[in-house]
Amino acid sequence: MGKPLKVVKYNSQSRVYYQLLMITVLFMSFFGFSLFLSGAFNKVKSADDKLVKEYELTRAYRRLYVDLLNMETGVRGFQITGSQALLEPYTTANAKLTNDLDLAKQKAKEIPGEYQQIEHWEDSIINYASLLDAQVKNKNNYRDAIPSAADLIQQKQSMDMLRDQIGNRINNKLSEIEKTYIENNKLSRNYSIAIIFGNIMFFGLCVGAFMFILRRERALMHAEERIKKSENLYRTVLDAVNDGVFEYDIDTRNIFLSQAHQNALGYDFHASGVDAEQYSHHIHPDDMPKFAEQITAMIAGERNSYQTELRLMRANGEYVWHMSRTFSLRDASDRVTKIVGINVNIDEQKKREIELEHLNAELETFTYVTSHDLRSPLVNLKGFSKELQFSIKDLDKEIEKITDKIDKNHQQQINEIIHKDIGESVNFIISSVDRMDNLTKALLDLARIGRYEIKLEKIDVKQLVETCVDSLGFEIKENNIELSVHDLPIVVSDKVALTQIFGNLIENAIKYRRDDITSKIEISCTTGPSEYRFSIKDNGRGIDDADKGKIFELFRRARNVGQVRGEGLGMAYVRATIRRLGGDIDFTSKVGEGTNFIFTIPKKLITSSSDTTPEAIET
Amino acid sequence: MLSSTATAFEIIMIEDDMGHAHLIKKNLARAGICNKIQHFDNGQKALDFFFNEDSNMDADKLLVLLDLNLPEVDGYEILKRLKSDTRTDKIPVVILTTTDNPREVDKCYELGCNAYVTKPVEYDNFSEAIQKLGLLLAIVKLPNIKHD
Repeated sequence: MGKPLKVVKYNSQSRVYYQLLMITVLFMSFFGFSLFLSGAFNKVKSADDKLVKEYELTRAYRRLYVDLLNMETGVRGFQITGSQALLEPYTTANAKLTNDLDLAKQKAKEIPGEYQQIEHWEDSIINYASLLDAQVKNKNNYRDAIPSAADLIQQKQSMDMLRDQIGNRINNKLSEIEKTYIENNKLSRNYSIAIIFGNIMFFGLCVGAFMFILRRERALMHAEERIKKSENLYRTVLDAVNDGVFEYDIDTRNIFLSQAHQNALGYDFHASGVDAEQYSHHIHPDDMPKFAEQITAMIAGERNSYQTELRLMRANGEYVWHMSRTFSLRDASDRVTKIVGINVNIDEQKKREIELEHLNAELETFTYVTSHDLRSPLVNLKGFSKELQFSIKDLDKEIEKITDKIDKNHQQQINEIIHKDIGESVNFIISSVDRMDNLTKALLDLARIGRYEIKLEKIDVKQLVETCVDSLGFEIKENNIELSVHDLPIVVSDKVALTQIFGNLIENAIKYRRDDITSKIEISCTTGPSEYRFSIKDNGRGIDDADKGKIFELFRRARNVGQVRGEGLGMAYVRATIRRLGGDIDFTSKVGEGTNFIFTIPKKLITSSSDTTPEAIET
Repeated sequence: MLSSTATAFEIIMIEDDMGHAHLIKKNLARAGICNKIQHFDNGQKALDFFFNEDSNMDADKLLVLLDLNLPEVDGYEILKRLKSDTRTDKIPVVILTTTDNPREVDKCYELGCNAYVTKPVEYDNFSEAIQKLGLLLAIVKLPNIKHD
């Protein structure tokens, strides 16, 4: 009963692990996704920052480029016309140049590889600016001054170089920016898609988890309902069954008793049960220590089940015998948590059993005491009859001394009185007392069988029978008896008892033989499913049908025993001994053909451990 | 036979069966025991003899032959009383009874009897047993009971 419980528990435990694992996976994936999102976000953001910087740098380049163009245009117009108004773009641009250069340098610093570029340009720009400055000063000083061709060529070369390099750079940058922009766009679109996908996934997981919980919950509800249903069925069955069922919860120390059990005993406990302490008062105090000891042993796990007879108290204080069978239930960790039991009312049979035991004990005591008490007067009978014999001898001697004074007639008469009348009477008394003594002894022996304590041991029956035959060797030889002993088993039984049984049966077979034919005695054994059947078969006088019923009775003897002497107790004794060993005896017989005594002894003798035997039987 | 002057003690025989008492006396006499034998056929009378204030009992010159099955007060009770009283616990007590149940023999020794003899039913054996007991009694040395 403990096993299925264990399995259920194990399943639910693994389910808990499974759920924990699922939650962990969910959490991990959520965490991973967040990490991924923030990573992607950073990536998009840094790409955008870089783009902004590139763009700002390009704008700075562009301003520088425009400054340079304006300066050249202004100086050229001023040189040609000498008009101060046309010099205006130059002046403005020239004033901004240093600032714009610084700005471009500053922006270039933020982008690797760009700063060397601008440093490279800086010299050319300053050179070019001072070239233009010299030309403007020269024109202001000399109205008609015309720059030399070499100056103009140098100016043109510088300007071309700057314009090419910066212009190209700007163009490159612009196309780079465009490319980066497209890439960034893609990145941020991926980012958005990831967010959307992630959200959908997350939502799906939530829905899945919700569905899972819902299903679990419903299954649990179903299971609970089923348990409730089966528990109701269980309670109904318990209440319907007449035998009492009880259930003891070790943790709560609560005892539940089935309704029928309560009804039978007149209890009215609360439906939820009763405290063990309170319940224990309903067990007979004499039965309680043993019961408590066994329950303790079961709680400790030393044994799984227990069976005992105990008295339970009715509500009216009367005790009723019950057979109590208990079993322990264990949980997953193999700890005993509950003890369940069935109490069957055996009051009537138990009372009868006790009555029978008392009767048996009384009978035994009666036999024992009677045979003992009989011995006391026997001592007197024997003693005084012997003393009488002594007195007769003494009297004889005294009479001898005075024989010559008594006449022949009187002598004859005295002799007759002393030896025939008194002597014979005394002899009859002595032989009767002897017989009575034998009878009381036999009775005593019979009474002792009940008290006899069986000692089990391995016995080679063949050897045992041969010992019995040896002790009767004289009679067997004297009467030319053919005695054959077949194969006999090795049994576990009481040696003394078995010796007496075989000894008596063989002796009887010899005693009640026929004198006109050769006597044959055959001893054999057949094996039954649970017992050995021994046979002692003779070809003797046989037993008359009318006597068959008396064979095992006390002090009865069959009619055709002739001169054979006996107390008539042999077979009663033999049967009592065989029954004491757990077997029985019977016979088949025909007058003139012989008798076959068959007795059984069990293969496995259960020695009754007489827990409940009252003291009376022991004394 | 042996001289009884060395052991001049009195035998207290507690035996309810007059026949037994007679046979015991006869066989003790055959063994040469001629000590005084006082006979009680009832347990209570014996107790009165031992424990009554005005009893002129001389505890260091007594030996008890005790039967177990007695009317009124049985042999066990008498044995118990004798052995639990400092005035009488030194008196040798020989149980002489028909019972040969080992349980009863043990019980008597537990209660402090000095010897346990079974009366055999067979008279030859009975006679022999009592005579042997008589021979034993002839050489028994009684304890010296000190009176404080």
